[in-house]
Amino acid sequence: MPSIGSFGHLFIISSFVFAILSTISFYLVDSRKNSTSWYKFGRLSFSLHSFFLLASIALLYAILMGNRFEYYYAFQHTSILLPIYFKISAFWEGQEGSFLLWMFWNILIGIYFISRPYSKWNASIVMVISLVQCALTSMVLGVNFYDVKIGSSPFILLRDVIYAPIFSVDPNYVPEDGSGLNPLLQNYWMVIHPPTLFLGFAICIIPFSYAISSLRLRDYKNWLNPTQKYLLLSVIVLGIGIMMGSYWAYETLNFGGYWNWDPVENAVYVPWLFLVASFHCIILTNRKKQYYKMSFILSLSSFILILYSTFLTRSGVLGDSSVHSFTDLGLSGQLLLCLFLFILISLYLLITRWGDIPETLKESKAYSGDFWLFIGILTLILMSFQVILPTSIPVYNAIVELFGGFSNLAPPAEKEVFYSNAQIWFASSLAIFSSIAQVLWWRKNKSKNIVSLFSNPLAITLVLSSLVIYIYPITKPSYMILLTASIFSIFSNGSVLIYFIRKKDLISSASVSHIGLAVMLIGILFSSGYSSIVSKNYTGLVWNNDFPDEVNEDNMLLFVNEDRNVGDYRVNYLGERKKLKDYSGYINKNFLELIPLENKYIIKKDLSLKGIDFKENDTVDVDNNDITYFELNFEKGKEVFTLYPKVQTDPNSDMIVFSPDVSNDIFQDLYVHVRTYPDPEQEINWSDTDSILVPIDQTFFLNDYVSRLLKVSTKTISEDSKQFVAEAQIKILASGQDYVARPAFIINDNKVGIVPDIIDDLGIKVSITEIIPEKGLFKIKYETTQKNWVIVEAMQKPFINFMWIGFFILTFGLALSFNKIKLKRI
Amino acid sequence: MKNSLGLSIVFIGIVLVIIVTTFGDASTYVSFTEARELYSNGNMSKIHVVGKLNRDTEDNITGIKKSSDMLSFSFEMVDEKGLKEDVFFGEPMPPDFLMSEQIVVIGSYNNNRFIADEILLKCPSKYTEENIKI
Repeated sequence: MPSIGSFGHLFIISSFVFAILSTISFYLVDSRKNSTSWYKFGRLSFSLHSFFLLASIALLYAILMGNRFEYYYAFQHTSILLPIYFKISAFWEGQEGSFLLWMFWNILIGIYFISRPYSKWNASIVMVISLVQCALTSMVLGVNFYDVKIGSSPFILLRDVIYAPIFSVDPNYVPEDGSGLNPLLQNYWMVIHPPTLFLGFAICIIPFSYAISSLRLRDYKNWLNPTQKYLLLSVIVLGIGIMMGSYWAYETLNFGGYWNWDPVENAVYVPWLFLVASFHCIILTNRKKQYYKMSFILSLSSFILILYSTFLTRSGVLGDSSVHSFTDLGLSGQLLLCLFLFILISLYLLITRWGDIPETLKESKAYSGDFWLFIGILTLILMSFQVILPTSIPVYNAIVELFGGFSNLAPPAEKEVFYSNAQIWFASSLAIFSSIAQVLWWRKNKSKNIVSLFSNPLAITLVLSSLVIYIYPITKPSYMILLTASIFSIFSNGSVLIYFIRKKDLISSASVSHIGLAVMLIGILFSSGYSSIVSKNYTGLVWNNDFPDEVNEDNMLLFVNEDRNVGDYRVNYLGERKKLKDYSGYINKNFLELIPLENKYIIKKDLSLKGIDFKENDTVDVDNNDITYFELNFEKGKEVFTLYPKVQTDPNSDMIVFSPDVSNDIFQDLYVHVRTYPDPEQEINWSDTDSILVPIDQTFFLNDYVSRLLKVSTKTISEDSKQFVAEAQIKILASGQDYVARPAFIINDNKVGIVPDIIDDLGIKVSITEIIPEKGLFKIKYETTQKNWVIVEAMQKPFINFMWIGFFILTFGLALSFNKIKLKRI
Repeated sequence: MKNSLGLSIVFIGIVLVIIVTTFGDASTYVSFTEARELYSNGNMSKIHVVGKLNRDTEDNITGIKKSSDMLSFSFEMVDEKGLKEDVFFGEPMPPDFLMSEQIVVIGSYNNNRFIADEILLKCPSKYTEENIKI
């Protein structure tokens, strides 16, 4: 009986074969007489290709969901305790799964085109999609051709990948649990961000296919309308995908921002800019019959840049320069081959058709909208070039070394500064050019005097931006210019918007989008440029001589239950918290007692949290044992709020991930994350042993805390044994919080066992060391250590909401435009 | 023709500026010896050093000193020329650090000690030996 994995492998090979057949038959549609039968055969091949690919995706899911750890992919990416929605995202954690995800979207797009009525265009488009599918399927093929490995199959068995002595003893050994999903990816954004991003990648195929088909079919007019529509769609979807990624970074990673200029981020930023440029160029070509060649070059290169970014992130070439590229699967040669294949096809078609492509010799006037639109397109190209060039330095080194040379160039060491300093000028130019282009494009003919068109927006801009610059104050020249350019863009695009609403009762979607972009730029300017540290250490104390200076200067140490000023806030650290399963609130970690080996907890005292009652000795499940939250209470005047930054540890590695919590305000975010806390695995030095004799219900002092022995419950474990257990419940009051300690005293065959209880927060270990039954007294011993503490960093991110709001406006405008473009049937 | 000629000149001009600044601001991959020379010549620019963690004859990683607070750590790194150096990193140990087959540190010497601002890791590809925790 063949295994599920060999079926999966077989399905992938079949889908590869049918992708080839589909490409060939759709290619022959155009050049043969009996084109309809080739078209039918092509459709059948593509359907079979889709069927087999979908079947292999379903099988891979079955392997992940069924915890089939004999398969390497399941062992590597999931574990038994992983919740179902993270099992979904485990699918695309690896390279193979993410290729499958990309192909999944391509299939849907292909099916859409083959289900439409026959036309030469549709046949040609599915041909290009099939060719791309051939290239992508080959990446997961997992076939050895002589000595050459083609693709990496997700259905490979663990024992074929990993050398471990256990397999020579027992070849059928299956690990009990997988190594689990990277804690950073255990986040709901990681469930939806990759599919959106890959959908964006997939949609880019459509403009590319139209451009290729137009050149093949030597029809240079009809491709413009659908390409414009689909370019816009890819801009929207890829844009949303990118922003989801930045929001994830802001919320989960602790570098304090949403954009890091990491090569992996640059590799999607650049194709996105190119898509925007192509979209604008197609508008020019479609409306004004200009720049046909440029439209072809941009539409083709946008997709090629997507392939190039795939090569960058997956070939391992960035290994020395990126924090989060995929692990190298040894596919670099294959990826390079695919990249060159599509570059060569595009170049061949462009060169052979170059003379055919229509061109107008008419020169645009400097005061026309087209001219400024064109300058905007050039700016976008330069903007991309400035990012892709340094990102490609590792590729440059590899090429030099290929020819026997030596190059030790590395990407800029301070990449944030390097990129931001250049991009800010391009962004300012874009804001200005887009405003001029919009105003001239729509309003020039209706007004005789061009200057008067700009006078109002310009006047408002100058007043408003000087006010902001003066009051805030903004001192950096590049920031002043970006701010002024963005405000100008808002008001000049606003003037177009008002003009249309008044005259024609229409909403100018382009103006809405450009206003959105300008609002976004303002948000980026303030939140990045004026992000400030709130948690400056004003105490004059050095937290620890071993700490880097930056931690001693910019972070605050907070002891549990002690107020301390952090910036303008009065902050009280209330201790470590856990989240319970199926329950939204947080619970004090000291109220929970771990039952060893069961991954469950016992509640130590009666509690009522958010209306739900818990009884002493109830058993509860903790949502994720590896995550600890820190409850921080912030107070400023009447404003009171609580933040829960968290830490996640990974039992399989030394990984510690601190994630921030953010307090959103309309004008600014307070971004708080923990830098460090007492190592849970570190051995504690207990000191100051002291003991006290108390009866039940008497108040006494444990160290400095008012305490009371509430009760002592006794039980005999079983009747025949002589084991006797006494468990005390001691209530400890500390600065407004109630704690409970439950030390136990065990007698077993005349041997005495003492089980102490530790209250981490207070740094107290309590035990019962003696019971004097005749007097009803209990001897309580306590030892102390340092109280619980955290070191936090708090940052203010002014106007960060402008960025998210601006992005929503931008996307809304784009969606309006998308809706307006009527597809012509070709 | 005037407009497009002017535009082309400006465009090519900016392209050249971008190329020059990119290669001008590019950092370099060097060995610890070269990094020390740069430092003693008063050059404080950040450089990249590629190397591996120091391992003893039994392939155990040696020379890692974690601070008690987990906030920073230092480790011994052997560069591509085989020179061993202590590297200090002012942040917690990055995930998979101990599993890395190659590391790149970005930083510079300061007070005769190599301070890394950033660490990049290359983790083993999935077709090399790995150990299963049982």
